Amino acid sequence: MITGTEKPIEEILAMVEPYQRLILAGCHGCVTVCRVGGAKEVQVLASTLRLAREAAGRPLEIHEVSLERQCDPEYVEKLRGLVGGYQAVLSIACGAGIQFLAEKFPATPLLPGINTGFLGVTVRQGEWSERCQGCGDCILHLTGGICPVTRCAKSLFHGPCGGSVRGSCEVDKEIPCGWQLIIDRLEALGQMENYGRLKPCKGWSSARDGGPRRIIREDML
Amino acid sequence: MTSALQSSGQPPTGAVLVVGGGISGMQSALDLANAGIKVYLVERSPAIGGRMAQLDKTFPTNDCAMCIVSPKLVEVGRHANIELLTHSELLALDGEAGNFQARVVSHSRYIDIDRCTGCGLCELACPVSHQPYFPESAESPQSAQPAEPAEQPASAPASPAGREGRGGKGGRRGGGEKRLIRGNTPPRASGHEHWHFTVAADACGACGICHRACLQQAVRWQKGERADIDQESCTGCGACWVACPEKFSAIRVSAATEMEKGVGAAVQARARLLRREFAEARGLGCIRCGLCVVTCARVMGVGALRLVEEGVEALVDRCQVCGACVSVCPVDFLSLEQVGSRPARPLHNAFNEGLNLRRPVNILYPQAVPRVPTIDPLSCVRLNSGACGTCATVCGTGAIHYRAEGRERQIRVGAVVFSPGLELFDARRRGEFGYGISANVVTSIEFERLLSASGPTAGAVTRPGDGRHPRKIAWIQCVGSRDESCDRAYCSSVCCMYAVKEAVIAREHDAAIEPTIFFIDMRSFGKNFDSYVARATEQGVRLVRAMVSRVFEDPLSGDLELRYLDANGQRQREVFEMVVLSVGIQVPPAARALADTLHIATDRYGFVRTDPYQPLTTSRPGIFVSGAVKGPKDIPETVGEASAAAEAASSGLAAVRGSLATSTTLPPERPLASGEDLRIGVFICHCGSNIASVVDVAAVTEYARSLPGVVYAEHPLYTCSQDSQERIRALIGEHRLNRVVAAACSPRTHEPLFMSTLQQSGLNKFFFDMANIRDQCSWVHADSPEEATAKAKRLTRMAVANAAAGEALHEQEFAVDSRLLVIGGGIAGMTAALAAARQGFVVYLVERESELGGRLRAASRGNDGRDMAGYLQGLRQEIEADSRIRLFLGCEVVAQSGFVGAFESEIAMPSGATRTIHHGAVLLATGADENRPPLHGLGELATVVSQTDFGNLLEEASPPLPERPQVVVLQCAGSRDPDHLPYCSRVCCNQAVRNGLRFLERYPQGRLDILYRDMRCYGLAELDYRRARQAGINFIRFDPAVNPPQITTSADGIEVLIVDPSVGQPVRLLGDLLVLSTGMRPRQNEELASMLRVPCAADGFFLEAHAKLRPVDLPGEGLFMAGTVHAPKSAPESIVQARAAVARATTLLSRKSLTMSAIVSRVDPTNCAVCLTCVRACPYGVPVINDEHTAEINPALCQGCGICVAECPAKAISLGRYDDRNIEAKIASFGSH
Repeated sequence: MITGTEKPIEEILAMVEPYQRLILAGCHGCVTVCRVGGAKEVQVLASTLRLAREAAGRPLEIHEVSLERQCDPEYVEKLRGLVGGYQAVLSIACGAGIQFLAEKFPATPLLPGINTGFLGVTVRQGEWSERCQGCGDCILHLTGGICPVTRCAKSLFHGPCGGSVRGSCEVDKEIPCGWQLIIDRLEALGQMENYGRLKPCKGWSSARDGGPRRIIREDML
Repeated sequence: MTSALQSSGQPPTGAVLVVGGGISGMQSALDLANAGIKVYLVERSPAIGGRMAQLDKTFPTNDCAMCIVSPKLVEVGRHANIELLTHSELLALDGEAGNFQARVVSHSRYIDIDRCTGCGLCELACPVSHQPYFPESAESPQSAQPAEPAEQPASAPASPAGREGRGGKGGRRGGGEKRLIRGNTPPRASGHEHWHFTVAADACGACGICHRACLQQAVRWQKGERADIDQESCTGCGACWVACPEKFSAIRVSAATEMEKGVGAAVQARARLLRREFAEARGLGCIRCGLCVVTCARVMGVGALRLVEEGVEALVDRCQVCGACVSVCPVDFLSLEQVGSRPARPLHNAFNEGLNLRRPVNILYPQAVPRVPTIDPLSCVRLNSGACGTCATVCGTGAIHYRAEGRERQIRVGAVVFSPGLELFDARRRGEFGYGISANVVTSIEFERLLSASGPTAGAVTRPGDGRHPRKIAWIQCVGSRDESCDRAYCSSVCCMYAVKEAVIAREHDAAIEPTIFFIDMRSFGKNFDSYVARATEQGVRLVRAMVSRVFEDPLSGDLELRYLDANGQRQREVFEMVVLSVGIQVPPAARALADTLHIATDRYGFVRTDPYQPLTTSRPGIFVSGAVKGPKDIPETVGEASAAAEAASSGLAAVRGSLATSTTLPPERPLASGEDLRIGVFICHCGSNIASVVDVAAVTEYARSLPGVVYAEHPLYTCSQDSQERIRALIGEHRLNRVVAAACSPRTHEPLFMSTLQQSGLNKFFFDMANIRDQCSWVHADSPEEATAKAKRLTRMAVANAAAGEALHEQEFAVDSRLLVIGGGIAGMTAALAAARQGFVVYLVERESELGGRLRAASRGNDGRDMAGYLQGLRQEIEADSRIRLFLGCEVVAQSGFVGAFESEIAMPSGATRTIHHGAVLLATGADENRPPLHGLGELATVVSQTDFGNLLEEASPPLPERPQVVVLQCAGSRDPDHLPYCSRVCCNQAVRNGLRFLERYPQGRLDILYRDMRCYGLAELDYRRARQAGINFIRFDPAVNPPQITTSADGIEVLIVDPSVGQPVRLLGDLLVLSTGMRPRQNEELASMLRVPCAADGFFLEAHAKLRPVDLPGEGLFMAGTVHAPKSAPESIVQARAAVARATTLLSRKSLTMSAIVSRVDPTNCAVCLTCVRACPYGVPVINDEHTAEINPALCQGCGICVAECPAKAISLGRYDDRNIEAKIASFGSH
């Protein structure tokens, strides 16, 4: 899931300062699940903005809407009839969704209502943790199901660096050393031989280093 | 019991009489009534609730006692199968089990309980605060009935001197001392809100007495002429009126609010107004309003006061010291010591432990059920001298009858539950602590009232002596417990925990408080108690192991010096600002007397005797016992026992269940036509004058008529009274109302009543809403009537909007399977299976092992020394002989689905096959294991054994011990230890003492040393502990952090080195055997917990639904537990729980169908994002993600708490009448106009 966090309300207020009529768009996808961009958050944020602007003597009209997903054109289309009547769209979907709206409605300014986080998992209610960086070349079968690209602060590929202290990363004691986790797991699984089977060097061209990526599935086109 | 029934040959009566309306009696009553048994609940005091209602918070969860008990009060009060007989006593019981005749007297309250609405106006109007001195002849209220018919209101203004020979002549009649009461400044006559006095020319005798009485020179009079009052200079003090001789009665009163009711009511009305006007002038001197004189003469009929130039003159010997003049004085000018010569006798409020005063007519406490006042016949002026009668004049429903008499009746019942409760030790008997002498020494129950938000100080911790906030407070434990010198040798079980709790809560109220608790042993033996005490010490509660020898008061400061010996034997003195005595609990004399009347055997302390393995059965068949009258115990144990006693009492009545129960039939519901116009009826309640004296109810009613959809509005005096309910029913039909709104008091207490009226009128009960214009309006805005009226309009408008937005909701019914699944065949499971079978249900008893008996198969003797194997064998044979019990030995429950009333379980058979069974409830009794940590060579060396091993060894014919064995017992071996079991196992101390006594029985020459941390021999087990010390067992205390024992064990023997704190020296013990008290540990319960979808606590035991009030209920509906699966406990305690769990299950299984609440969460699958938020947020674990990829909430399991609705990020969940639609309607209405 793509995670995100709320933007400070002052920042959003500054963003919407020039406008009197807005659409506030949530998304029923990942951001609903991680509780920053669902229908409830749309209502809460809209009420907050209205109250603040009311108090400042500059009322703001907000149209509240929640799309099934902001990253699929069919769902985004549902906004088309609406956007013309408003000055801007404030989206609390992830960065992908916001950009997609911007692309589809070139005449309308798009404002981000949240900060998009990472590809992660729900550790427990209210805690999320990063698990994947989308490097485009997965080797989890060799590393005990623990990703060195994500879990090691330096994305090292051949074991821990000198900063690994008692199982913790030197960046922050709260971060477990990814390589410690990998070695512990490989040992527990009896797969330490995998440690020697890692690639001599990781090709980063399939990752972000090769520039913005796209996927084309000929079979689906 | 069963045999007694068979012998009589007569069918039993399907009713049970419960003695005592405390938490025990209430729980028994509810469990019986919910299982179809008619209940007569007899309570001595005027209201149910008992001791628990007096408590502030409860350990170990710090739940507010009143908040958790008041729903039970309401439920008992409203239950159709419970007949509440408060202010009543059981006089005699004839007959035998199954067919008793009980003689019950209900003492007169002087209030008609059916008419009274509990508005409390009588208590507000009563001016008497002290026990008056009545004339000798009238001391007994029964002998002196009022001279005139009691039902007439007090004298009307036209004939002010209605009573012969009283009042009228003021101070001129009779002699005695006259005392002048004067302030620092002369009286400033105020004519504020004054009454108008005129002279009736035709009646005036021209005597001139009024002229002389008037201090304002307002009465003009010439000898031989009639008097005349100059209204310009009259201040309305009433001196002329009081002075006018009775035979003339020539002074007339007008412009007096409420005078049409009576003088008493009028005085109160004016006093209220003056109090508001002169709020700033309190204590600044007399304002010569004359209310004191009028009250004394015209209300009390005494005439001991007279207004004089300098102030007020009192005939101190004539004064009856009732306090009426003081209580009506709006500026606090008078005091009772000044007006009377005899000592004042304050009427102490017993519910607040005498910390404040009450009136002769009073409601026991604000949340009382029934919320009906009682008149105290000893102190009421009307009942004794015939004067006053103010309360009857203010009562709007005519509920007060001064001539009402008590009523005696015969009641036929099949069984009796005896639970009269406890009283507290009289701390005066320990004079060295200064209770009753030093004002700042209080008892623990008084301290509870000080902590209580509804107590005499509204929750402020202040010293009774001077009202100051104390900083250092000391608790002294075991006052009237563990004390042979005052014949209280037993332990009261609860004091250690309540003292710690009071200390914690006191610090919550005021962080400056430094609490210290002086104790002997910290007996925190219950579930989660030790961790509570640990948390308390972290939060600043200081624990000192010492018994205080004396308390000395500093007469100037009121501070208290405590003297004690510290752990090193050094004398210490320490000064505290307040001392709380942790008083023990005992059987009240009245309960002892009643036990004698009922022919129930008791012990020397008055506790009811029972067999440990028949813990609910008294010596008289058909009478069962529960609660503290059987031995000191805390609330959850009492609740468990109460359920168990209910089960035991109904066991012989299963065949006649439902025969005397009440059932109501409702008319069919009128469906609303689509598009039917709103027709709203609005009822604005006066609540006597509770609301109407502040809020202009007529204006609110007029306003309500203007609201959209409202077709009818009126303002009844009491909307909740029986006749108003009848009227609402008629109006619903007459005006075809389809919504009803009541603007009155609290929905918490009254919504069910109105809803049932709607149902009886064929209207869906959810077409109703309530606005609370009393508690939230008139009571809190008494000084701003205009704003209060505006607020009442707005609250009413919102309720109308909400009712308009209401939808018809329906409660679904579903059939109940009456079979019970019992998992676990130990003593709890076996007891439960037999009890449930006797209740008439089919039982599936599943035991994993190939034999019944559980852990007790390993024990040779029971708690009372009985042969355990024989006892278990008896149970086994009974189970095998009972055709209603299907036994599954060597089997396990592997899967479970369904919900309360309709469960389906799969049982894995020894063959490997599975079998599916259907049942309505589950009783979990899978037990615990003996803890056997590898400590000191346990399990390896023959010289190291566990306490259970030791008990068995002592039963062997020739134990492998020398002739004079030396045994060392180590308590808490692997218990209360973060490395092993962090909790206390509760049973080990008693087990060690019992085994020790048995050891000395067999080896009188042997030596036994017990190394302990705290001897937790709670309740009556303290007597055994005492016996053990006297028998010569050596107890050595250790603290792991201070003097841990050094233990060396080998195959040849053992050696222990320890510093004995009692002598302050190291000692060396050599022994043949080391016995470890290792405690109990939970079984691997995770799988079971996940299958039943209920939580286990961190320590591995199952969590109960509520630590205090639902001790045998699991958090899932229809799931119950008993025995050590809940927490460590003894076999008798497990038996009690087993029968309690059956009682709880019977309340479900005895029904043909169950009703699901209409207020349940519903998921709209089209919006569900399957985010799992509801699944994680639900405290009851109800929502699941189903095969259709959407969240699903089973309405039979949903508790309607609304948490998921608030949390759902996709707004896909809604909850009955609490929808966004409702809330938005209210908000929109709030902002409109």
